Amino acid sequence: MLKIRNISKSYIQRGLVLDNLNLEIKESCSLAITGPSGSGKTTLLNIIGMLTKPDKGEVFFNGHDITKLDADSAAFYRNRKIGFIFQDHLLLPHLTIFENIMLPLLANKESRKSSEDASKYAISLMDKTGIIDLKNKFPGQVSGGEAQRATLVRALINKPDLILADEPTGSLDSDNAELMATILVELNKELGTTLIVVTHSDSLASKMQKRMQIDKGVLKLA
Amino acid sequence: MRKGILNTIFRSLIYYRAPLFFQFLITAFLAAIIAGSLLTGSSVRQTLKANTEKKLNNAGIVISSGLRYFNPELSEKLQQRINTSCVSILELKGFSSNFSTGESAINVQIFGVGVDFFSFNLNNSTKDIKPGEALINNKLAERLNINLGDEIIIRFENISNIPLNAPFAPEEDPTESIILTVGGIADDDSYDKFTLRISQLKPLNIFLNLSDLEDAFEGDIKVNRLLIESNTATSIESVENALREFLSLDDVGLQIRKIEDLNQYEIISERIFIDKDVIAEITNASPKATPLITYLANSIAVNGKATPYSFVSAIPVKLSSESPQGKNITINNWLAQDLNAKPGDTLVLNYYVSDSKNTISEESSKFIVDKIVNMENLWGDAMLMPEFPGISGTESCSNWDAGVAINFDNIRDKDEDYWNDFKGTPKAFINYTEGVKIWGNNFGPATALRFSDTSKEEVIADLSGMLNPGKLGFSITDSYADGIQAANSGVDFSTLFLSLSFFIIASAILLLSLLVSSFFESRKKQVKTLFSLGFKNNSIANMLLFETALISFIASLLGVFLGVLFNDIIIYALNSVWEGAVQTNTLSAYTDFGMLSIAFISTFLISLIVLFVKIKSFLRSLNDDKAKESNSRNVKYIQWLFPFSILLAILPFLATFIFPDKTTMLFFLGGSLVFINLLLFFRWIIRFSSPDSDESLISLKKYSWFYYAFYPSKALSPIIFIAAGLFIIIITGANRKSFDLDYLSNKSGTGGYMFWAETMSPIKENLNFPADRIKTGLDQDAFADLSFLQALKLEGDDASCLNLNQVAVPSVLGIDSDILAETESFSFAAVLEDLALANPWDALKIPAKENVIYGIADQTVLMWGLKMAIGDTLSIIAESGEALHIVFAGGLKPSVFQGSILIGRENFSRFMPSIAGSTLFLARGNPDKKEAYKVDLNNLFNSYGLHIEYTEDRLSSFYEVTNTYLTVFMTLGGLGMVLGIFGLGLIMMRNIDSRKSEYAFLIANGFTTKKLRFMVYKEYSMILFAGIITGTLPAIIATLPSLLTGVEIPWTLLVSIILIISLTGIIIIKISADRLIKNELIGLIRKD
Repeated sequence: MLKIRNISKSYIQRGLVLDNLNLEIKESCSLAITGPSGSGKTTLLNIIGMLTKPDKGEVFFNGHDITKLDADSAAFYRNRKIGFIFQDHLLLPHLTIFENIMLPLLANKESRKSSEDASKYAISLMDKTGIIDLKNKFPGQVSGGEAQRATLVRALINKPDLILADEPTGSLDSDNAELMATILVELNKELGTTLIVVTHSDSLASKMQKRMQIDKGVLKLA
Repeated sequence: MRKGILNTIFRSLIYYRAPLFFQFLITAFLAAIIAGSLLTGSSVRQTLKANTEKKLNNAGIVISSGLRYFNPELSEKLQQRINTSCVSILELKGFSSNFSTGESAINVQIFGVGVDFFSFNLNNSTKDIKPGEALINNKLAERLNINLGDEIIIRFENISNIPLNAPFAPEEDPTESIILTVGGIADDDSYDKFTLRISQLKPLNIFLNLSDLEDAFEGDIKVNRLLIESNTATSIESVENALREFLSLDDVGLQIRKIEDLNQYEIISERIFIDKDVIAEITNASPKATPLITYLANSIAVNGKATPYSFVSAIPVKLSSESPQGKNITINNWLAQDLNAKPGDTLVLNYYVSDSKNTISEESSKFIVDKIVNMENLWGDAMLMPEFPGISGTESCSNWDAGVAINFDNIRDKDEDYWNDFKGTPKAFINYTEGVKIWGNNFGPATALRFSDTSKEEVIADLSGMLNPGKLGFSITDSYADGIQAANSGVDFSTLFLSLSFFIIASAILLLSLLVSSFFESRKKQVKTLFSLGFKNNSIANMLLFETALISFIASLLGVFLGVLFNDIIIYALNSVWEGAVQTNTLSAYTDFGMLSIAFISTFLISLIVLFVKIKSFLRSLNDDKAKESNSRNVKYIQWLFPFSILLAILPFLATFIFPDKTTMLFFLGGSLVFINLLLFFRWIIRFSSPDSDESLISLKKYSWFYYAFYPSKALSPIIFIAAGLFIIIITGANRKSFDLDYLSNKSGTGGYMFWAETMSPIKENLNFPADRIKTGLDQDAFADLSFLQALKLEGDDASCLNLNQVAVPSVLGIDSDILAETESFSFAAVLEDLALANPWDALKIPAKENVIYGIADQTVLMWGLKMAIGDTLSIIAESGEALHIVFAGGLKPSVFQGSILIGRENFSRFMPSIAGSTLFLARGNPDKKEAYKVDLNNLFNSYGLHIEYTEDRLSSFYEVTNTYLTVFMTLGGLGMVLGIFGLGLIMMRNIDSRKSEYAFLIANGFTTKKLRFMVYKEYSMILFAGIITGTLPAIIATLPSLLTGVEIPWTLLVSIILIISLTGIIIIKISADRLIKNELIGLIRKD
């Protein structure tokens, strides 16, 4: 499903972050990427999510090289095929939890067409993740764990093929982190969505089917 | 836009109402400034237009006979034909004084009016002015300190159709005066402002009953202006046609008389000589008309004998087939006998001529006697002699007042006998062509037009409706339309105040830009979220743009209405503290919805551009990995650039020793380089305060600079903003126009002349000629050092910067350019290179070709008053009614001549022959005696109605306009700077905001809040004062030459601006720092 070939990425001040990196992930698989700070975990995730372009190399998603996509196509790709979860929940403070979840549907026509179904889908996912009662609350009125679960539901709303989670439990207490990890794994199994998680948490990483470590720009099995 | 997205946007607007409110405020402020500036222009235009209506007293089209006079009944005839109210008035320029106190005023408009003038505009309260009384306006009453019932002396130029300097015009007192009682003081009606000139300045007006001028006209009252009621139905063409129809010979100073002996008729002129254009009109209308000229010969000599003071006629062949040919002369038998002359003898005619400057000199011509005739028929026609006022009708030759020097000793008894028997019957006859060659002058080439074989009725019928008023000295102008046009095209206060508000507008835009940036920065995470959720860049940009543009739209809309208030403030200031710029306190504020619309659209567009640019750069910065990494503390270039720049800055100051005449420019350059140096100095301090230098982090003082070493623009941007603003404001303040010790140098705006003097009565004499100095009393020792430049003046509208209207017909001065060329007086800003003259003044000596002459004017008059350039042509109406085209050959640097057009005296006299003498002169002499000169000249020329002023005072009045604009710029600039300081506060808040974690860390690590606050105050105060020093010090250096030469600097205003900027900055720093440190850091620490 996802094949990364020889990608490299460097920054002026940090130098080479990813060095000729290769990776292949099959559909419905869950992968944890760990590594020390500054090792390039987030950079790799950003490249897969087309938030950053590699200096060189190719990223094949379902057979298509997504590094060749223009900005609009990349946006469409992110909207339809990818779901993002960040350490900081990044919910819009002026929208309710439900509106935040439905937000990706506004990004393009394709998504808007399915808004009625998506609404029902969102309700079911909110129910599953235990935040159905928070539907009309604003982000400022819910806890960090609840906000992060809302982010997960928002990431799933367009039924993406791939979920990219960057430290999804990083800002949560241990109970909430555990709950979030459990939900992620369950949904991965239930929905068959491929999951890539970048984390420092051994607990979360251990729940993934596959675990790899990145160090000095090189990826290897943990 | 989809409903969902719209909902998201509106929710966002509500959520972010606080930061968006600031955007709203600043956009509304920007709209108010733009709208206010545009409304100011509109208000000035509207005021000028309203004044046009009021000052014309309901008149639209105005007929003027220039310097000549016509019958007042003409208005009644025209009124019946064009079915529009018409009224005849007499307009004179004069001098008046309070009979009791002697307080006086020059350049007074004197209007002789009948009762019909008061009924012309029914809106006015004054309905009549009784004989013996004068109605004066408020301004004159104040000037003369005169009240109702007081007596007023009114002096005006002699009313006569005969130009004072015409050949054989009698010597008369050039002025007349009457004493009237002040019967009314016009305050707020049309008479208060009434003028046919284009100016926003209130005139000095006197209205008197025409009947009081009976004596001045010697019984036959005439007028020189005809006002036609303003209405759309009456056109210039219809007026011209009616005038052509009703214009009688009498209206143009011509009379028909019968030569009984010859059964002929002739037309003669009150002016003695008949203009060539009038001759052309009459001969075209009636082919029977034949011009002839009869002239006074001082002597006719031959064979050692001379006959004094005889008239000689130049007769065309058409009038008599026996007319002499070529250089032949026919003499009558009396003369032949007196001179013992016979055919074939060569006679010498001596006679006075009026040269191109209308000065009289004696010349002679030789003619050969072809025949001797008996005094019968044409040869014995006494009526060939024109009606010379001082000669015709006199009992004896010794009573002649010929207006020229007559040596009565030469007149013999036989000459008296001839006068007794035959009056002015010519004693000799020459060919008309020859006569025109030697006696033709600026006043015309004929003294009569004769008609043979016709009747008076036939002559009148031939000429009726055939005379073109324009060719007879009449001009017809739509004064109302011209006034409106002048107001519309006048000084554009909209652009002016937009320019003067540059700093406020720039500051507002900068502030808006900072606010928007700050707002977008605060939404960075959300935008990142939208991006990760698959929103396209364009979609995100559109959402942000829509949100902020909606705020801008509403703010622009409401802001323009605040502009009405801003306009009120500006108009109030222009009517009071800034009156120097407009020279009037009568401006009214108007609300022009067209201007409000333009202001709204402009503001909205400006804010859209700012928003668009900011959104683009914000989104680019989010997506550009490289841009995020470009910060570095180690900037190597500063190490060599700063020392190099110091060396460079020294050069201009050293160069002043080599080019002392360029000191001002070199100091400005040097000051500008010092400005750059100071900026580099602060950059250098920042650079070398950082840990990249060898020093380690050992003190809090050093620590403060680390941040700025990494983000130098966060310190340098505010420094540059404050410094650049202050630099420009101080430079502007120091560049106020003033006088240096060298203001009396020939190259200066005074041309080296000390005095500018205007007289109500023309001075015919040449004040530099010894003989004329004796005549005028200038031969006294007190005046020995004085020399003069005299100017003939054709009255027109003031084209100087004191007039807000665009002037179409400025005053024209005829000057002797040789004097200015010799002394190399005044300096030229531009000259017409095509002429390739050694001295630009020589252009004025080039004779007219097909009514085209060269002129010179102040460059500012050309550019702003006339909106013309060198090489452009200004057309005015010459005295005869023909067009005179003045091509501008030079533009003077600011001079005392501002407001007028200069042409050569010879060309002036040719086209305006009736202007008899100079009414303006400049005088130069020993500067140490200037006070004494002023008193003495005042005494000497008191009877001429002299108004004398120092040239520096005249220049000052022009400079006052410029200086007031500079004050406005400084004031608005200062206000803009204060606004900019708020921008600095915003930058500071953003900086502090971005450093919250850093401050929180410091507090967590034992720094006290007090210490931290002190550190923040110190940092930003240093930035504030670095900006003030960087702006002030180089500006003082740049303007040092001006400061040392005593230019009047508005120190109070400058110091106030600097103090207000400092104070505002300190307050903003304190408020911002206190708020952030108190409220946010504690929370941040707890959170972390």
